Amino acid sequence: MKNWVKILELILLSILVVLGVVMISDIQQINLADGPEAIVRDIHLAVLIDDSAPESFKRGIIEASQEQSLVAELMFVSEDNAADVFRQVRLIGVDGVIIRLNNHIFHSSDIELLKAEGMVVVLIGNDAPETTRDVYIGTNGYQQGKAMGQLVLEALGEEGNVALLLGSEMAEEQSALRSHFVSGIYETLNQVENQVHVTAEYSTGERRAELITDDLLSSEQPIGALICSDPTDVHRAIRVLVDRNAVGSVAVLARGTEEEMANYLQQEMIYGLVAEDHYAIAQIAIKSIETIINGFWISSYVNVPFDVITTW
Amino acid sequence: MNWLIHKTLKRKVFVFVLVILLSYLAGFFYTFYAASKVNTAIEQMFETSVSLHQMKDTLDAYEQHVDNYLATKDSDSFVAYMDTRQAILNYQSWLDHGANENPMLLQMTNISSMLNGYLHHGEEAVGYKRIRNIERYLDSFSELTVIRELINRKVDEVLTLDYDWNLEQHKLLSERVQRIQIGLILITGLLIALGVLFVLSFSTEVTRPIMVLSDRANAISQGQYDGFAKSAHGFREAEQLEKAFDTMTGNIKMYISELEDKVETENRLRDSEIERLKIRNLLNEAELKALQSQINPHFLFNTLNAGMQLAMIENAERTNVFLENLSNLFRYNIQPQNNRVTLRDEIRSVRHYAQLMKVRYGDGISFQFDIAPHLESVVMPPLILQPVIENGIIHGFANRLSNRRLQIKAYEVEGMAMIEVEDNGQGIPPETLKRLNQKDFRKSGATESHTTGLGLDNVYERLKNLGGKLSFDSEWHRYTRVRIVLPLEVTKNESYGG
Repeated sequence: MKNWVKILELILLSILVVLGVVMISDIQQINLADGPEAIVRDIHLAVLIDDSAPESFKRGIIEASQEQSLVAELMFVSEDNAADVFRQVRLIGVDGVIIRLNNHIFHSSDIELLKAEGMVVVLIGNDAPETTRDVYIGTNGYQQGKAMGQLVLEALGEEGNVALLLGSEMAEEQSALRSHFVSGIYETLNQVENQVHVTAEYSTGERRAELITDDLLSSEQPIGALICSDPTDVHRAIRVLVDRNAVGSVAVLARGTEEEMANYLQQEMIYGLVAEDHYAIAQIAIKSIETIINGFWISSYVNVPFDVITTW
Repeated sequence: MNWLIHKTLKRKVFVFVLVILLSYLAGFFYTFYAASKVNTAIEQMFETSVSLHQMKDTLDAYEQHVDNYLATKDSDSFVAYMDTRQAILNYQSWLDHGANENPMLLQMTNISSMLNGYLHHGEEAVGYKRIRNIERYLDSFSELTVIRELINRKVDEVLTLDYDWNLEQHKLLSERVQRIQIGLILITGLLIALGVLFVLSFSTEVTRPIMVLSDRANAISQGQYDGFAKSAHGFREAEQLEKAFDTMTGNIKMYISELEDKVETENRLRDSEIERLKIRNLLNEAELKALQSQINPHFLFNTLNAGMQLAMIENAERTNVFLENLSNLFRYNIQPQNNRVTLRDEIRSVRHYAQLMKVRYGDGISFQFDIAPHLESVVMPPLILQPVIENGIIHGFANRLSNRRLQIKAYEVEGMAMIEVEDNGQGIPPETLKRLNQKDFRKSGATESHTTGLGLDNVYERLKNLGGKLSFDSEWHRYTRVRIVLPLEVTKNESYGG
């Protein structure tokens, strides 16, 4: 009896000691509020983006900054807060700024103020060649337009009506049609005289892509192809085509990323896609800015190739 | 403090209480330590938030002092402005984490950088105030408030990030605290279980020696003093108690042994006294009988002598011999029974008796004597053989009228004198023989037919007191043999019967 009690005592004592050690370890690990992991880098970048920035671009920025061991801070910019953001960037005193914004959001003066603070400025998508920006990175819009025109001809067989649905960012260009992308389309389609008729529409807050698509489908001159310059408009237009059971009768041609159009490509709901590689653009932007900050020279214009994808 | 060095009960109790106290103290320490750590962690969690709010208050105060200075240009406002500026510089230093990969720390660095511009515009405003450039100091102050608004947004952003971070930390902390709580419950449970076992073990160890002693006391009360196993003790007092108990048991045992010896000795003395009284009684009885037979021995002997003279005068030789034998026999028989005689005397008396019996029974009876000469000087009580021979004649030859033969032999056997009296009478029945050999002579007492008036019990008792033995051997209708064994060493001078 006595021996059993002694053995039991020893077992309990051993468990107690083990538990005590584990507990001490547990208690000592209550140092969670010491603060987040802090890795300090030499280069601090501000990346100004608007709501048109695709996820692949953001991912490209984050991954490239990690690869290059620098800190890239994504700052969301809208028309409302653009001035404040640019002011913040100047106050913070970052080493470089990557701007991927629509033209109407920022002004040349903003870029010059940044340059005045000694920051390296890289523009993506929309160039401001009149400024002292360091680098412009983007795909050739004119070439993209020509590729899109070719896709239209493929879809229509060089005859039919084409609707060109342009995003609100191009609305102010309505009169001049200064967009290289649009120019490229027209130039290609104009090669087929009197065979392809192009109607340009602009999706805005008041007249969204759904309404425009619906009107186009109800028109006396039915369209054979619909070109969407904005990925958001692609979603809206396809939604109407599905409702009107017109998928397949109208060839939808999109401009955007493969990532954004993945579902439509798989389901063959769009005829073709002119896709920019935003991930690659982001990578190039980071590498370019780092190169410049480190004192090396690079070309002030970097062209990034685009892909043409068809499903039919 | 000797009790601490030795294995004493006091030390045992002390250690037991100390272990229990230390165990619970350890449990308390765990709880306290865990609570302290959790409290510190919570304080750390809110440290950033609290500091940022304090910084915002400082910025408010800074702006107020700048504004006051711009309005009044008094030295108090300026001093206050400088103090708050220094405080903001301290915050700036605290906020600066460099170009940090961590979003929250990066925003804190951003705030730190923005504070540069904020302070710069404050200084500008104050500077322009000094040179009375109203337009410029108003612009600078205006810019100051704009930057302040941007800083506030950044602070809010940091507070949100801090909140998210703290939420995550709180979740982790809660999980850990939950684990620790379970651990503490387990530890408390184990401590209680261990405490119970300690108490059980301790109480058993302390009470065991007492129970062992209690059992021993019970055994001793039932007369068992030996066979106790040495028990193991956990403390010195128990050993001392057991030693004292053992000593006490030994003493009791010794006293009881002495008491038993004393009682035995007293019993022996009493038996001896009874024996002596019995012998004395026998002697008295014998002496009484002797006295009875000695009513007037001188008259008897004178009469017998007169008879002998008359027989000689009348030439009656046989009568003369007869009376002489009778006279000699009577003379021998009336001597005190505690006298010592030799075997020669005893045989001579028996011969006288045999002559008288020959006269009585004629040729119908014969006596044969075969006495080893060197045994004739053996000392023995008187009147031993005659009662035996008389028994043979009275009982052995009761139904026999002729060819009655009695043999008396004396020879040495293993340093003892062996005297045999054998008759060819009817023998002794087996039951009687067995009883006689068991020295039960109740029905073999003295009979009126005996010349001596003595029975076998008298003969046996007197032989026994001299170291002699008496035994019987018989075969029904064939013979009876009585053996008397006497020691050779006994001298005539030895007193008889104590």
